[in-house]
Amino acid sequence: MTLARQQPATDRPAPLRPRPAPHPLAEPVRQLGRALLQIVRNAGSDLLMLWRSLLWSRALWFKRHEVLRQCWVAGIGSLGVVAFVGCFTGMILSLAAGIELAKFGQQDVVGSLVAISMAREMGPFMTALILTANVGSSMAAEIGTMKVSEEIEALEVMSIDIHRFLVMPRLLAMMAVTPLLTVVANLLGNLGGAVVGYYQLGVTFSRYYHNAIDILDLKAIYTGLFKALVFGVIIAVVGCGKGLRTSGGALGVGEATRTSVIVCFLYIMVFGYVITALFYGGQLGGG
Amino acid sequence: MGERAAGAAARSGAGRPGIELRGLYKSFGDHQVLRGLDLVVERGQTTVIVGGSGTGKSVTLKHMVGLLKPDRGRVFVDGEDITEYDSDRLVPVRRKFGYLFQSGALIGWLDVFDNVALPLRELSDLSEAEIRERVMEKLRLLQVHRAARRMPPEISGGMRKRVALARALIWDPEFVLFDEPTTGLDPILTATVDQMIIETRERTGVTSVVVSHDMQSARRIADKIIMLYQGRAIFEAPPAEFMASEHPIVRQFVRGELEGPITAELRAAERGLEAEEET
Ligand SMILES: Nc1ncnc2c1ncn2[C@@H]1O[C@H](COP(=O)(O)OP(=O)(O)O)[C@@H](O)[C@H]1O
Ligand SMILES: [Mg+2]
Repeated sequence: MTLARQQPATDRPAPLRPRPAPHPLAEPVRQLGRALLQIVRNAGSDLLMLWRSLLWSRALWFKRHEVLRQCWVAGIGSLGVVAFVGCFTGMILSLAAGIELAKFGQQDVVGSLVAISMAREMGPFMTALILTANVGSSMAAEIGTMKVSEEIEALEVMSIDIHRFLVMPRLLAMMAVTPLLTVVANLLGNLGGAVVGYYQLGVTFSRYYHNAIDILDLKAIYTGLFKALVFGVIIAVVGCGKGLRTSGGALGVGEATRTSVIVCFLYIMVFGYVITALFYGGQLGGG
Repeated sequence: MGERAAGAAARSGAGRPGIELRGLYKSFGDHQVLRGLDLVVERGQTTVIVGGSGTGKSVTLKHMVGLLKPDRGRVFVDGEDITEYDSDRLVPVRRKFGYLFQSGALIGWLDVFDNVALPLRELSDLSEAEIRERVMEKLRLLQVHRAARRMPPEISGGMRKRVALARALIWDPEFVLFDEPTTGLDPILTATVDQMIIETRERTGVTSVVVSHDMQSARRIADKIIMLYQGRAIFEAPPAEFMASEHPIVRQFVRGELEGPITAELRAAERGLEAEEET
């Protein structure tokens, strides 16, 4: 109704009236709105890209060399750091918890504690953070450079689908590499935890081992691996998406790289929480 | 030889309009680049588009293959209106084109051979042996076959351009678009590239559109030179006529004079910007 009444008014020139001074909050609100809209728009185009690239996974056999190359680059390039960080994460968990548990004479439990928190939370989380910094950012930089040097347009003119040529191999590689490296992080985390438990807390290796094995059920393991899989998808999609939306020369590439890391971190936090809540939230029994 | 040339001429259907741009308008944000551009590229000819930096020469080329969509106006290729085509419908149209980008646009992690083979590998069912034969033929044609296993960053700018041209020619296209093929090359390489463009046309009857701001090479290769200025094609003529033109803007551009309508316009624009900043 209001629309219908307003319609004819646009045909006549608007009467000249002094414009009221803008509200001091108008500009910040407008900018916030614009930023939110941009986030939604980017997420939408990223989802579309994910869908198209997943559809192209039927070309996996044809692109197997490229997928393997991406796995190699991402996996081998990050293996050392993941092992190191995984080990220290386990050590820190073991030490921090062990100090408190020892006050109650319960230090034997560190085995369970480290095993379960590595498997469900810290293993995938730490692996994803490293892969974001190491692989996601370089995806954004590499594809961003291709965008600003007309290589993406060249592919388009040649009718080569970028989802098949660029995104799919990276996506599948990350979906394979992230869970694998998570397993590495978990194993070394437990090793680190056990060593700290033995030397600092006096927990024998066999007791640590039995406590760890007792608590690890299938659910904890597949929750962790599922999380790693989702994180892998996030890293590839955000890295490629940011790269493909790059504009403005070398500066734009830097910007795409930087924001890809930040956005990945945020998504990993949010999705990490949501997945834990989905799989384990019911057990709390609270409201 | 003569038979071959005659065949090529017949295939190219010389004189028929190959690409037509009608009343193109294009802006990026509030920056108006094309303002009613009309332009016809005849088949079998080499059309050179000249104009100052940033006047929209690259933007014009990108409209011819649907990489950019006009805000207003139509684009015809072979009489087919491709203005509204999406990338699926553009596939057969783009198959008629080879596009040499300004920077070459070779894929950085593929070597020279794999770059040229890329379209064949991705889009054809040719066997590896057939691909090898066709790629080496093009590389030899452009005399870069010895660099087949080098990576793009390791070769010189002139070589990169020739490799990019080899890739653009891999389907034996009917149209080849060259975006500043000689910019940044020394005079001898420039002459080589010009020779390459002329030979390609003689051998295959290809229709070429060359963007350039090098009047020397424009004169060598062009059947027709078109001057782009402020988003429009303001003047077109065969090379000799173009070079001798008394049109004030063309004259200033051809002679590279400091004083004239182009620089006057620039100064006026600068004054406008300064005035804007002051308010
Ligand atoms: N994708 C784009 N986004 C925004 N601006 C662009 C884009 N492409 C070209 N432009 C602008 O259009 C103008 C003409 O560009 P271009 O056609 O590349 O000039 P040239 O004649 O030197 O090739 C330039 O001012 C450039 O900044
Ligand atoms: Mg240009």
